[in-house]
Amino acid sequence: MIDVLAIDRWAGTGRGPLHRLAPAVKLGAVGAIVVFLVLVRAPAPLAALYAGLLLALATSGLPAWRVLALSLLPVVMSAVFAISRAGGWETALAVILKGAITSLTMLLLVSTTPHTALLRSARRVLPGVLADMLFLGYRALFVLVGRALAAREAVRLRGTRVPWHARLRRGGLVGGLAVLRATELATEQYAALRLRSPSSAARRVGQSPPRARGMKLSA
Amino acid sequence: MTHIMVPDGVLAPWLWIAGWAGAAACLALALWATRESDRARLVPLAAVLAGLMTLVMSLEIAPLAYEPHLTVLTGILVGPAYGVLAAFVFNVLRLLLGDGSVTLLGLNTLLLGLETVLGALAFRAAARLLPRSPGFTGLAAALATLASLAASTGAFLAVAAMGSVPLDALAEEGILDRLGTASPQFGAFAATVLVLGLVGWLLEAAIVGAVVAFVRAVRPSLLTAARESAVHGDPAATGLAPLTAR
Repeated sequence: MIDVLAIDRWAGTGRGPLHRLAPAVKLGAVGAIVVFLVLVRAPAPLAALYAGLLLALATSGLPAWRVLALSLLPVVMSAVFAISRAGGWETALAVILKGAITSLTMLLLVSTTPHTALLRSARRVLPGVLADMLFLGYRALFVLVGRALAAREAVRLRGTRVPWHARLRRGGLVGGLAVLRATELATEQYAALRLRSPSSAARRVGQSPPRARGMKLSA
Repeated sequence: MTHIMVPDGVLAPWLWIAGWAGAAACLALALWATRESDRARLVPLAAVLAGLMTLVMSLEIAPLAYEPHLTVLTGILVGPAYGVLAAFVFNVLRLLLGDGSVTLLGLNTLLLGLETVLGALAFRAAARLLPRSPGFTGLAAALATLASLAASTGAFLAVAAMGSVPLDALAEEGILDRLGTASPQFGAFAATVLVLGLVGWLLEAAIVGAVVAFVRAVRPSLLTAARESAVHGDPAATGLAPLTAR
């Protein structure tokens, strides 16, 4: 399982050189790497880029082995895809390297940049509803993880073995309860977001925002 | 199951650029379709379901190399339009966890969006035919999950087939001759996906059925929220009800 809590903690508390870089610079670097991956097909330059990323990881102050292990999870699927394609070992190696680079690049970005900065960047390019959903969805990850861990603990404490259909019903209850509770919390948060946002509040009653009508926000 | 786990720069540019364009069009259509809906109620629900998909996706069933998504659950609970929006948010959340590739965001949104849309429609059809009880509602959800996952896996394999053939080759010869199982490597890949996928579909159908049966028993209004909202609109937007009243 991808350790959501660990990634968030690394991003928020790390003090390495990558953490100190401006989010815009890191996003620009990610964009450049994506373009590089689209244009380059030879394994040698890809291997050089991967070595550079490994160096960045080693000097980032992040727990290198844990981040590396996380980054290799999606590479398994890249390897399956590479084997399924004709084109020789060079093509297969290039596909696997591209998988490793894609994964490690994104992990380095999200492990060294607070999610608030990333969500702020997303809000600049996405429609308001999608940006709100992204924010609420990210917050929901932690609520759902918390509920799931609590439910797992409760099931463990009950201890008895039950038949498969009872386990399925219990699983449905655990999943359903987690969704209902997380939805209640997200609904409250979204209501607060909408009330605090002058533009969306004005949209709801078909008026222009207070600032546009020459009113002070504190009025 | 049906998102493409291929790194950036592997699929032909025409394919992922077309995916981005298609996804942008679908998102615009979904946003338009939800403009009069009860956003105060459905946006948080869709966002939570996108978060749930992200978490569940990371629980890979290792022996099958199968990642459950619960996209059909999302389609059932929030309807097709919000389902497409949730599929996009899910893909962005995957990126925020270091999983997935930027260039395939569009194609994956289309594939998972298709799964939510088909799931929502199949569930409505199945629920109409079956008796109205939590157990049968869960069964309808399970059947919808099977149908939707089978269809979207077909779409996934079509994209994979197209991704292994350059566009100029497609244009010179007949497209149908070049797709499908003509290549032995692709045939093996497709057979593996379908055999392992079938077991995964059954597991995911059982999970979705159990969750929907529970929701039907304790909060049946949640299953009709999307349709009611489409009919009655957003009370807050029309000034009929304060946000805090819900």
